[in-house]
Amino acid sequence: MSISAEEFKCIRSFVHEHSGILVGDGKEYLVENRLTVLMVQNGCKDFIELHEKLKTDPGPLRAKVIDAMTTNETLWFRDASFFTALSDHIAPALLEKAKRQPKVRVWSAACSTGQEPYSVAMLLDHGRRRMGAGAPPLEKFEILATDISPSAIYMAQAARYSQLAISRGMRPAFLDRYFEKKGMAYEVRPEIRKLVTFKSFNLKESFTSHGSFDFILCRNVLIYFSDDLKRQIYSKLHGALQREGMLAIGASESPRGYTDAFDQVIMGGAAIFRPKSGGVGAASAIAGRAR
Amino acid sequence: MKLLSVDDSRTIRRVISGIGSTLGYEVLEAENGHQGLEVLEESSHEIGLILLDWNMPGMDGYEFLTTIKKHPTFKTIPVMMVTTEGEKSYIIKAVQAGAAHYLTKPFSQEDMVARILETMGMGGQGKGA
Amino acid sequence: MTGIRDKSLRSALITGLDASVQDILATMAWTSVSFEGREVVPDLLLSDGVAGLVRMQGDHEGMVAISTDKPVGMELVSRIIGLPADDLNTEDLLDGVGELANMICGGMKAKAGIGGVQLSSPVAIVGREYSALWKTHLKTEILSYALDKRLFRVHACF
Repeated sequence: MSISAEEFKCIRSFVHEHSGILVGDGKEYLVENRLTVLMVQNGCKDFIELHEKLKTDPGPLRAKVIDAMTTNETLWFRDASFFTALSDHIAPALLEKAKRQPKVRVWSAACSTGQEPYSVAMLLDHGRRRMGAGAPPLEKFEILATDISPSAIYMAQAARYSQLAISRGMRPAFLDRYFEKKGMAYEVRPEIRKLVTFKSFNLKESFTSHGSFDFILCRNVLIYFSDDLKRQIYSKLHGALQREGMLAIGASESPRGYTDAFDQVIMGGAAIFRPKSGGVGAASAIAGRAR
Repeated sequence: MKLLSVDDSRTIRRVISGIGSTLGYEVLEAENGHQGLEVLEESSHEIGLILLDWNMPGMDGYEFLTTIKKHPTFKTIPVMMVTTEGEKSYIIKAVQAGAAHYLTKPFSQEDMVARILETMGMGGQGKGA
Repeated sequence: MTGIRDKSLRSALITGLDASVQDILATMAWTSVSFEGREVVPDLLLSDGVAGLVRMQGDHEGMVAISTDKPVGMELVSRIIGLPADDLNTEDLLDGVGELANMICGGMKAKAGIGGVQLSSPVAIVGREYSALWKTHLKTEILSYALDKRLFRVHACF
């Protein structure tokens, strides 16, 4: 192994401190693989020197390191039971809410390259079409989509996916209805795109500027965070949810052990979490609604 | 602008073409360094990034890289290595020879997109930042 | 030719190989496989419909091969490229299987953190009935994975 234990420790703690993400044991090759180029380009002879440079860097190098260490890939309609929950339970509930409320707000908190928020937008439109007369207009929905990686956000905003990315889980009926073929790529249609606003955002920061939400998706991301950060983020998620709001996390994740502020509800085989009214974040939830 | 994929595997060239077209770039293809140079002779003015494999029969990626970095016009085109060779010594060698990026196979689509956008001048501080 | 006798290096390579298989199938072919078992056999013998082989040379010598049946090979290559399996011809399959072997072997090297080993260009085999044998005194460790109830094998001979 050409990266020393000390080098690995330095980089790992830097990435954790600035992104909240834990680089697991045995991932030395990942650091070496992703950061050697930046190390050489910045005139450093090892990762200790790179770490020294990072400590005084005002941002650009830091952003590159975080971006290099945190990129990830998602696919359409990942996790069948979750999408059953989404299409058969959550989307209908949000559509009902949209009949009573001026706006229904959704947050995809780790949206990667955009598949998740676009999937939600497509399912909302699909549900609306099935409802027929009396269905609320699409304009009633606002989807905020955030990710720590600026390049992921860039790609999400471009809303263009290769045949390869599309083949990973997209249903043919949805492909026909919600995408336009542009050369070798597929582009999400404008009526779906305009429902989603993208921003790069670090979950370690305060959520208050986002307002409150009827539905938050924060799937398969907290697994990379330390227990302490998980506790903080669950509390902030609780605070960002409306009283009747819903939280979706990854199938292998659970808030148990980090907070008791949520009730678990099983929908279509998937566990969805609702804030308990007397939970830890109740005060901030009220503040969120008042905004 | 176009991208040039120099790789002896048509599988990888197709994957790269798919990703390129997602971003709106046409991808030219070459099977080895010699073919890569031929493509550059004809179209270097419209190529914004070369995606280069290391191990190829004929002229390999490293020889191709050092050749174009000595060339008066080709040398300004950024090169991203895309290879199974992930050893630090290889990465250092390539970067010292002038490679701008180094991506090890297997790569996720997003990793490749991030590097392409960074090189083509759109990523890094993307619109959403 | 001497194989790799150092126990900790062998174990690092086998662990790296397993991680590499999982990583490559997940990242490039977007599929997950379940580990089915591990066995040691006297020869590197392949007879599964499609195979890809990569030779290791340098400080450590040996061969790494993958083998599976043709439908699984087609499915994996189709997922990597993003084209339906029906649109693939034999050349696509040969190239795709060779590239899979190449990436799996390269990934093993990276994850085990070994230097001083060069990998050959991959050799790919597609055929209805064949047996391929590498004559060597080195034993072969076979890691078996299941993909939709069908087997995907990785043969490590070093």
